[in-house]
Amino acid sequence: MRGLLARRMKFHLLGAFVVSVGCAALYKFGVAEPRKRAYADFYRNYDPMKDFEAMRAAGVLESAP
Amino acid sequence: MLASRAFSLVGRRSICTSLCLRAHGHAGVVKAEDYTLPAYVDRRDVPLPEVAFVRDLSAQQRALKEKEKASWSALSVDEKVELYRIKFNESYAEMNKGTNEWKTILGGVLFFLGLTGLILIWQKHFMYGPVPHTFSDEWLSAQTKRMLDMRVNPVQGITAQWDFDKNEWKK
Repeated sequence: MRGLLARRMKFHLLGAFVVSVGCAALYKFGVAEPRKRAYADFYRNYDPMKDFEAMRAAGVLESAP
Repeated sequence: MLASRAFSLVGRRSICTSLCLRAHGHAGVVKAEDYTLPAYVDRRDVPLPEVAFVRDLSAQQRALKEKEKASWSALSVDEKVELYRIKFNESYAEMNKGTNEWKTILGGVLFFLGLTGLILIWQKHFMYGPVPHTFSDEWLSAQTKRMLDMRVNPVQGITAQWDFDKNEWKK
């Protein structure tokens, strides 16, 4: 009967800490890191002029036919 | 303000609650209503409620209460349990026991979700008109081609899924 609040509080404090840190870690390594890698890979050998010419050839640029 | 004015007009003595009306018949003293007296509760955070559970003891229980005033080692186990049950309704174990309510709730939720689905199907079939022409296959493929030509979302989005050399979606 003793320490009912203390026991419940310990359990929930630990649980809250683990869950929040876990969520943060999951997001960082599931979303943030892959996104940073994708952007780095995309822009490593990106040639904007080539991209521009491709868009112009496809006819989507009204002011650069 | 208006209420206090009306009060003074009518006169303090003539406004009576129903409880006071009953008191006038009983020599000015009202029997205490149940809800005004200390009550028994089964709560985890109230280990010793204000009153015992059983209010009116039977003759047998009253005899047991008398026996309780003597040495407790003279009481049998059954008598101790009976004394406990006089004082408390449910033990902590009984109080904290889970129910099967969640099954009812889950069943109800799923049932109504299904019912809503049926309603939506009926609506699509009988009520709504045709979708706009911009949802036709030809329009959608022309739309997608234009998005790819414009290089929409090239890093992680739609253009990243298209293979420009082979002219098809990436595997």
